[in-house]
Amino acid sequence: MNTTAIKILIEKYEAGETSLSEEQVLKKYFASGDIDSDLKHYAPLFTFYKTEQQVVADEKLEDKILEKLDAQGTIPFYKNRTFWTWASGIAASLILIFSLVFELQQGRIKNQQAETLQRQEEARQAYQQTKMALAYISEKYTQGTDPLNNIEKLEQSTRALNELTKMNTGINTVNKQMKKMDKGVDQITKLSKFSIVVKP
Amino acid sequence: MMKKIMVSIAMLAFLLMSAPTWAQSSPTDKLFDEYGSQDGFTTVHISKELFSLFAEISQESDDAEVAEINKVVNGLEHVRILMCDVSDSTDRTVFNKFKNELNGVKLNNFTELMTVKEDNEIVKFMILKDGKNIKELLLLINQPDEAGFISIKGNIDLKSIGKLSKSMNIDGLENLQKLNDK
Repeated sequence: MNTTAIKILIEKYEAGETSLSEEQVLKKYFASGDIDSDLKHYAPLFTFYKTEQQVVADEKLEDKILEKLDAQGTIPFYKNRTFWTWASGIAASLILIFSLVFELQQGRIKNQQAETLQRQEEARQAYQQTKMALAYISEKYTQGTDPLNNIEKLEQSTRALNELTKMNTGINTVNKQMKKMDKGVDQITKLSKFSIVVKP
Repeated sequence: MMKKIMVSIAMLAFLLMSAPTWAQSSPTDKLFDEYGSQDGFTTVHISKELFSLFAEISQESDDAEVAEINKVVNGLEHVRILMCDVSDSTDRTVFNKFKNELNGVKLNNFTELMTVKEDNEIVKFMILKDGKNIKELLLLINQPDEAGFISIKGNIDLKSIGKLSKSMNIDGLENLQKLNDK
């Protein structure tokens, strides 16, 4: 390779117009060590690529990278955007469901309250009607039975009269006994008279 | 008037619900069914179920009174009232027909307890006995422009009913008329 050809290639390289094979030529030239003094300052450029190309990745490189990532830690869930979209969606639907259930229950409670109120109203009305009906019957019943009560009272008074007649008979017997006693007294007085007669 | 009808509808609903409990029909049932829905008639049917609800309202009204009424009502199957009031809206002929039917009701097995006359009101007490107990009490009420009946079915204790008017201190007839005016 003559120096002029190389110079042309370098110019081309700097312009970015070299083909891969031409670059290869340039690399080989600079690697050969036999370099024109004018071109020496270009040498590190091409030899750098050559040496660096020989660097082989460490077998454990991948692990090392992963280790580094681990040390940094995985992204916490609250920093995850998808998590938040899902979470807010679920929360919204839960709120919707709960409010619906609550609303329904509230409605049911109101209905029940209305029903019990209606029942109570019905019961109150029925109570009033029953009361009136019973009061009416009661009144008529007492109207009908009061005269009977009077008869009962009459009976009671006659019973008292009966007692009186019993007393009468008692008095009669007393009278009779008294009469007997009188007779006895009479006889005694007669006897006493007799004794008076006998004594002197 | 509408309220009256509504009440009777409510009562009828209860009546239907409680139908099996009074399968034995009373001779006045026919009248109740036939005239109950007509204009000028007031119907009341209070069933056992409603009696049981009286306890619920006892906190609001006079407790002693409720207790007394509950005592009477306890053994009852139902209380039924059918009254016809001749007002301008009611046909005299309907009233007379009803009156005739009411007084012509065949009351086999019933015995007349008494008849109470006051002014131009005649109230006949009819009772149906089951042994010593009274199973049904039927009051036939006749007035020049009002007629009807009150029927009480169940275990009836006439004495405690009689006591009611003394303790309640209200005029029954007046109240019954109030009931009609509702």
